[in-house]
Amino acid sequence: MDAGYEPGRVQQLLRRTWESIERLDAISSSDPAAADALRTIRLTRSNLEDHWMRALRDIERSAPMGQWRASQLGTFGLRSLWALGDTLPDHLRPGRPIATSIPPQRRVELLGQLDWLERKSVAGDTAPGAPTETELADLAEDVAYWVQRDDGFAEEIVGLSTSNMTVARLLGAARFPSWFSSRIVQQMAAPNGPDTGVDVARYATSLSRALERLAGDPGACLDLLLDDRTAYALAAWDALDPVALEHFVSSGLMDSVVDDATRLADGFRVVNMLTRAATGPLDEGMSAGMARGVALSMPVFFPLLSGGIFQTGAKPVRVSEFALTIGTYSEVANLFGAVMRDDQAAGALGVALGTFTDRELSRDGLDLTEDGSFTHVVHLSLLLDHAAKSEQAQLIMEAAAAQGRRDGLASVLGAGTNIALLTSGVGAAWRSAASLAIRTVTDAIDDVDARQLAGASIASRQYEQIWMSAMADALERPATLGAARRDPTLRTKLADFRARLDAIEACNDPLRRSELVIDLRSAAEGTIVDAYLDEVTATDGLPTIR
Amino acid sequence: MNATARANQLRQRARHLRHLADAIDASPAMSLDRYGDVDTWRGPRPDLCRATLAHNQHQLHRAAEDLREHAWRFDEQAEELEAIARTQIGLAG
Repeated sequence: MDAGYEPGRVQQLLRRTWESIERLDAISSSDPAAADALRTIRLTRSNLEDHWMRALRDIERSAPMGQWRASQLGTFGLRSLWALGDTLPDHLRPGRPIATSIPPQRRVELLGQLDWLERKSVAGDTAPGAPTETELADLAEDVAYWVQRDDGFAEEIVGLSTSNMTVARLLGAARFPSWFSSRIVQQMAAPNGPDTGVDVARYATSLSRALERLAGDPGACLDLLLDDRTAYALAAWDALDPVALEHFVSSGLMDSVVDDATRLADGFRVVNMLTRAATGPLDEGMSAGMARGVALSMPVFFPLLSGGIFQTGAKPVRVSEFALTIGTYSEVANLFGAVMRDDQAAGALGVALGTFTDRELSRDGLDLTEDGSFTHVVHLSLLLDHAAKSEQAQLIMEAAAAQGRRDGLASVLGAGTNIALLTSGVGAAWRSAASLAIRTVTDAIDDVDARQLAGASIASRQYEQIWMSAMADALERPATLGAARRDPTLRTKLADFRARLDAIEACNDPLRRSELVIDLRSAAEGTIVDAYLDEVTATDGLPTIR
Repeated sequence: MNATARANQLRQRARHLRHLADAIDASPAMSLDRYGDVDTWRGPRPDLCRATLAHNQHQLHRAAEDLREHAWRFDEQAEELEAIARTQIGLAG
């Protein structure tokens, strides 16, 4: 794909983006009627900061590479974006340096320095006397140099990482290859965090830093998650920094698959391992970072996963494309149940489900009476309903699904459900937009009366969406429009139905919304659209969730 | 609060909402796409940035329209309140 940029114009764009953020920041209001507008402003500002500014700053950081700028100019005077070395995963970097053994004296010096810095850190990484950033960076540069040339030395450093927590701190202070960071994480995570004799909090912080560092290489993250022992340890150990672990897991499960669709099968293997663990030792829940990372990655898994759900109970959920059984229906429900124990993860699942429903119902050429694919929405909704073991999780999921629809998050992922249609970077865009929706929901959830949920469920809300799509479809069918041309009374009725649909779409109160849907259903009974609605809603599974 | 004071309050809110809508429309974010076109940068990441911006601009535009609609409703309510107040004065007189 053609990729590049024009330095002068990028500088101007950077200034305009910054000005846009500042001006959006300055818009404020305490008027309740402006609440929706302010949420939109916040979403836009967040997108500009998280995507535009980050991408532009990456380009800006590459500017010192001026000596070869001219040689990279293409036909249109554009430099290749792949010149951004910091963002390149290992497999795209130039080949490894020629192997050389580290001189014995140098080895002793570096190990000595490593030991000395660790001793200085014993009182804490930020306590007086702790190593300075410069000391860490100097040592990290030297260690990185020899790690890339001497495998034996690299393995020795990996071995030290469980007793010397400065090792993991070095990863953030210089550019280490991903395979080395992976080995550090693997070593520190297995069997399940530290045993005895180390400062557990410092150990967790160190490992979290290593995870954060590795998150920039999605393929390496997925490779590590495929290692059952490591994935289990990260899921079981809740002392890890949830944000770092969330980045690591979503990078491995979502970004790697978006970058390379052939890795979807590997992603499902990780889901399979977590399903097995959730039915056993993780039944009571998993680490917050793992739960959030898994939940945020679901947009790439829901399309095939939902297609594999047919029966409840002991029947298998199978992804036939990869000849892989994820687990029984109950086991997969257990996995989502364990994920939902974390409120933010429940919100992320809700947003993913709401988005999935929107995407399924807005596909080009969808015929609701013949294309049964929206029954996947029904099956998945029912499974998540079974998985929700608490009213709170149910409430958050339902509210997050609605918030995701209001924020139009389906468009962030694109209308296609095929993973191959997603573009590189969509994972970050999705996480940013989803996070804002989740924050909005979880901030407000304490004020919501749980009784609002009475009689409703995540599945019945999805049913409402499907019914609304069927109604909208029914109103525009040629048979309906033809009959309306001949009958003025019917014309008036259809205009009323359209107005009611608009009112339902605009309604943010879940209870009122349900009432409006029921009213419209009653009003439509016996009219020309009724037969079509019956035909659609008689589809397999739908009557179950009404 | 009497009907006239309430009407004044509603008109003030309507003015504020219109001002807010104008501020959104005049925001540099609404014209950022002109500076970030394919002549400036191209590739999957810029494509994604442009797509999210287009979506956000659409949402902002809709938000500004909603604010104006709210403002219009407030003005209508204010007029109704003032009409009621005039009737009451007429009755009292």
